[in-house]
Amino acid sequence: MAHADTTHAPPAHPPAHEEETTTGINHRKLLMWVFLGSDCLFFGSLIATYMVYRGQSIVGPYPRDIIDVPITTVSTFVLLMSSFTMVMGVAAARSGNQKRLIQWLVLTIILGGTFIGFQVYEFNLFRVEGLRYETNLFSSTFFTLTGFHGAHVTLGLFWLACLAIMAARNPAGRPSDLDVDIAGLYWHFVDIVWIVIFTLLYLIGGFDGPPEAGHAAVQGWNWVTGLIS
Amino acid sequence: MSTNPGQEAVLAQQEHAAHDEHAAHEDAGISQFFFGRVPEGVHGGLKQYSLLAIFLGIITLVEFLIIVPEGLQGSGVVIAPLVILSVIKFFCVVAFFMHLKFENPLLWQIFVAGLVLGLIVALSLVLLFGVFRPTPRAFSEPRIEPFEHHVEDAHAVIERPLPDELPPPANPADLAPAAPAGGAAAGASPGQTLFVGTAACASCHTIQGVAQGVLGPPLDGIASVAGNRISGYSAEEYIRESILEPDAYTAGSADGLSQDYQEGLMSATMAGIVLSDEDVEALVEFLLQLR
Amino acid sequence: MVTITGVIPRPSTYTGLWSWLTTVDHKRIGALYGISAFFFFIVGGIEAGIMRLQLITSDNSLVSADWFNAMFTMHGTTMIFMVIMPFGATFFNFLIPLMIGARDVAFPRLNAFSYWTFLFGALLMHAGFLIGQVPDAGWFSYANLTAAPFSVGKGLDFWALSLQVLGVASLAAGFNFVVTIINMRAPGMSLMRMPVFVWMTLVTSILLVLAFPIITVALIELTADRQFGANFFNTAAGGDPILWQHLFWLFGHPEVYILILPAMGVVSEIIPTFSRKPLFGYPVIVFSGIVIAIMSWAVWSHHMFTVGLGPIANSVFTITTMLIAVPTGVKIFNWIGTMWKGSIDLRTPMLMAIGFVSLFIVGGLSGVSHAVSPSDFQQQDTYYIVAHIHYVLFGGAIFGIFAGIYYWYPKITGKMYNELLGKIHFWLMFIGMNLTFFPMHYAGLNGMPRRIYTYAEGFGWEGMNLLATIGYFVIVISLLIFIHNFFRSIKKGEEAGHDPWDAPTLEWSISSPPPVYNFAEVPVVRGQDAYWITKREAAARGETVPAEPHVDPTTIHLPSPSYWPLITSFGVVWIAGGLLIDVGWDYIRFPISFVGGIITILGVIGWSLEPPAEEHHEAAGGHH
Repeated sequence: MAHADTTHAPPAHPPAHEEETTTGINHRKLLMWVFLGSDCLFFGSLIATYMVYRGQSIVGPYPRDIIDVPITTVSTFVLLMSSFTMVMGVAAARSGNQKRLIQWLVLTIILGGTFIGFQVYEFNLFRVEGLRYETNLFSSTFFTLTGFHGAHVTLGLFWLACLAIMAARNPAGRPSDLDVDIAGLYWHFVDIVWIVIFTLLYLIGGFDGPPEAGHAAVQGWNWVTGLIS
Repeated sequence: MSTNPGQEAVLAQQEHAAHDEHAAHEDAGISQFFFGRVPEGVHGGLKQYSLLAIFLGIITLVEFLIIVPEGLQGSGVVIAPLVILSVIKFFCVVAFFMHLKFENPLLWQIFVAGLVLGLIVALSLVLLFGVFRPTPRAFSEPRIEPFEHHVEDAHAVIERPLPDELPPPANPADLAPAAPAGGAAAGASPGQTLFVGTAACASCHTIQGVAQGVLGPPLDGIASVAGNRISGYSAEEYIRESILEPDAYTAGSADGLSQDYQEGLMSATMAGIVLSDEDVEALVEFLLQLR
Repeated sequence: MVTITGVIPRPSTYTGLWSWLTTVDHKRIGALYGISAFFFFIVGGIEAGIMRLQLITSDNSLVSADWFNAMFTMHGTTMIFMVIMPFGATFFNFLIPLMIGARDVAFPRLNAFSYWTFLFGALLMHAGFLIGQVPDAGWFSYANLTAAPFSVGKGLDFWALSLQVLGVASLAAGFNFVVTIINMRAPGMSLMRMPVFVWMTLVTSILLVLAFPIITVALIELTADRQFGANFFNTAAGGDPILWQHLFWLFGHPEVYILILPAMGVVSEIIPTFSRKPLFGYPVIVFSGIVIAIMSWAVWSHHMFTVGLGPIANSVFTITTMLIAVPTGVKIFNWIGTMWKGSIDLRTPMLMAIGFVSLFIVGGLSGVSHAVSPSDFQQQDTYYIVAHIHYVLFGGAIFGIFAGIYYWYPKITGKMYNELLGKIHFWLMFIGMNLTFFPMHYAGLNGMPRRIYTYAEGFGWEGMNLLATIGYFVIVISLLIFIHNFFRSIKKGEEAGHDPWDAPTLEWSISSPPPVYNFAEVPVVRGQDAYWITKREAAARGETVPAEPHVDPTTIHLPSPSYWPLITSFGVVWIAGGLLIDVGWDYIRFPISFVGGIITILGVIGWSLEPPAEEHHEAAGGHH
């Protein structure tokens, strides 16, 4: 979580004082993109940990016992739609329509909150079914990865809420369209991370059981190594 | 991003024709927005973004439909289409929602650098560990438990086994590369399971594809040579005695092996390992197959 | 919240303690980094001394095995994360805006946040000493030695959580310098006109930004295992301790270049200045820096040859490791080529730079010798490795840092150090360094394992260890001379003038020490070695170039001081510190840690709503 805190450091230059930059890209926007590039490594490592330990748990519940793909498909859709409302918010901010901006932001917050609601429901269900953080390798890797994603979403919700409040009070032309734009970049990034997580942990990995020899992927791998040797 | 379904492209073409005359309009034409070059300062609007949202929603639905048939669930066949679809989704969001398509290329480079590096790191770790490695790690295999579905009692949770309930701790050689497919886990004989598992033979002995111990003599083809070691002993008798009374005879260069092995080492190492009569017979049976 | 923070004006003092706590001036932050790094250099040096005294002879019993473990762990961790990295940050902070002709870094408050977070994280790690809970699993803390049953107590928790805090500081600094260098160059300063030090800073910052998330994840997993019962490295649950090694070295190898590239940048500034020649093969040196950065991601498993990754992995990493020696060698040839037929002036910075080059060659060669994995099987975990790492990090990074300190001393303080004392410092440190670490090559190849707290007599290691301990004290004496020289010259040194070395880079065109606003007029850059161009043109007209005249600082818009970086850093370290609280009832640490989170969030809110200083009197009325 501390890792994500570094995102929250935009300088408070008012929009009117935007400085000239060498590349023509605003400092904060550049910072956000560098941060997102860096966050790719953060989630990359977490996902790598999950994939390395995939199918290695020796006690259940295993993913196939517990993962509910249909429900998560719905929550994935919800998060995807929040990206749409967010980009509409950015468009509203750009055209200077403060009222529309607030509406889209609130809609985004509702959708993002729904996603978090799904996640809370899922985590609780898992707990009830006997999958706690310390139960097995699957639980440790799963909760860490999705938990940190959830923390990113929560932080994003908080950020958007601040923007919405700011827009409602409208002090001296803030939030600027750049403020909204940068928050939007962060929000969309959280969405694309979820696209990856959904594919790997649910659609592909959601049917894993205990370690076994006859897995289709295993056969494919054996075939490849057979070719090499 | 040439990822739109055909009918959308047709729609887009009509849009394009309509918008052609006012290129400097605040919103780019749909086709231009998705496929063309967009002049500076022009952005998408409700039309473009909602089209994209619908497209992304459809992909999500397709992804879900792919894994609905039970036969496809968890099979290797679906991996490629699922990965392709999510990559399409990923780049649509990045290019249009995050409007990276319309930005200074430097931002692309920065993001793609992080993305590609993250991908390489994850992939190389997966390869180094072999996520597709057929067998479970050798030291965990003896302890795999099935899961009884749906514990009814909300408070009943699965406790982690306490250390003293666990089988003997892993031996160093168990960490060596595990047996190939069909090894310890699936088609393995009880003797082989014992060999790499609780009997800990694999700590010291080598059998091609099963174990890589170096302290004791290799056991490849042991069934063929065991009968010649002590006159009057059959291969089976020799192997059984070697397990039960390791010090009775210590093989060495006199038997055509590459080195002399330390006398008394096996009895000392085996001191803490308890084998039932069935275990011994299972091991003998397994070793007799190694011709 | 908005109401409360809206009315707090920005601090406006520029003198006294409070001004240092709230400063956002990159030069002051650089100075703070330097002082802190030197403080921890002494701490880490004392730890090294305890080890050297313990090992001076066989069967010694100065300290217990446990303390010895704590000493080598803290020595390594301190020197890498709290000395060499912040020394690098010292130069980044002080010099980058001056070298690229900028007013300050892109995010001055984020810069202050980096410093305070670094300081608090370092203090948090050392706070373990106060309660006798010192990390003792080595600086790379291999799993599963770090698992709760094998590392009892809080030592490893201090290590993991403090390192996490230091990581936040490094990430923030990395983001800041990437943006600053990409976005704040003076007009005309294209990428290929940037001084090499700026280039190396950019490369280092990019490495920081990309490598630290990996150690963040590894530390999260370690903390989760130790504090929340997760199974990442728990073999009983099927976890694999090797994953820690992979994650650690995936970070750790780029980290090695994070440590050495700034020193290479420093040396690339000094050698041309004192050879009176432009840098030989500037583009090649820049590109080899970039290639090193890219390749540093492809060599990490050479730390793990003896793990048993199999012949394919070992061969691949052997090859990549040998390849990375190529761009490093290219740089060395470039430095030598710069000196070739130059009119060399052997002042202390130049001596230190030459010391860097020569010692780094030795370290690089021993590095190539364990790039070969069969040979590494002999060297793994012996003193040979200790010798190698100290030739690259002491002979390399520390010599580079001292070269930089002497070179920019006149710019930072406005005074000239004592040249004679500087030279004595160099020679004593050079001799002491070789006396300490060269025998370790032999001790290692004669079988002395690293990290043993004592050894029986009869192995023939006593003589080499005695030499090493003597060498340690030679280094100590040289550093005492440096400290004396440093402080005496601040008081009594001659005025240095703005450009004592006739140097090529922009920071020398302004007065020493630089005024708070840096450049009164933004410089225009017309080529590499911009200030040499200016001076040459002036000389052609028969003029000399004076320092840029001072102007009234109130006419120049400068970022105002701020409380919020300090508060936010305090919150961040509280989050980590809270998890370490142990007052009997275990769960109390979560609410305590949570309070830190709230402080952080309040800090961030206050930060983003903080009014720019020049408007603060209006803002007080207009913000609610």
